[in-house]
Amino acid sequence: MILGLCRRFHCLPSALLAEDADLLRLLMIEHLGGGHGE
Amino acid sequence: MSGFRRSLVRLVFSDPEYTGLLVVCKRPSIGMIIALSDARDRAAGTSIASMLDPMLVDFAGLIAEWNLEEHDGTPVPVTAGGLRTQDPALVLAIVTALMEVASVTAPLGPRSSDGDPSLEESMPMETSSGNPES
Repeated sequence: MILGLCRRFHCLPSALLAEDADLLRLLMIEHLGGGHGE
Repeated sequence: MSGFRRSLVRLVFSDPEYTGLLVVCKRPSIGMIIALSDARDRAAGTSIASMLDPMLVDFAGLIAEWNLEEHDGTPVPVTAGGLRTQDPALVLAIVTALMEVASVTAPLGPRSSDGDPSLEESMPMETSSGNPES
């Protein structure tokens, strides 16, 4: 999951892990809404 | 110029045992949520306290304030040491409530409608007259 998100957002894992957990909420909403991301 | 501060989150406890408990936290990072989730999963059948112990300092740092008191009314300090003195079930409840900050309750609400056609579409349009300068 981490590496997939890093590919998606073009960032290093350290930057992703420091990101606000609100991002997880948005990803979950996207998933529940049937979105498939980019 | 004053600085910018992220808003804090007030944790919600679904267990009626914790009615009245107020815990206000800073917004957790993705790394913290993953670490807490991992610790909670590994703690199944053992003690959450032992699993959380290595990260108690970071976890306590997320808590901005709480109204937790000892039986004699002494406020429990918002520190790793304060957390260590607490019932593991309470620590687990706080961890769970904090993780719910980053979760969504499924299913999502119904989709919003497309709405009515815009009024601009029904406005009568006149054919423009020719350029008066030509």
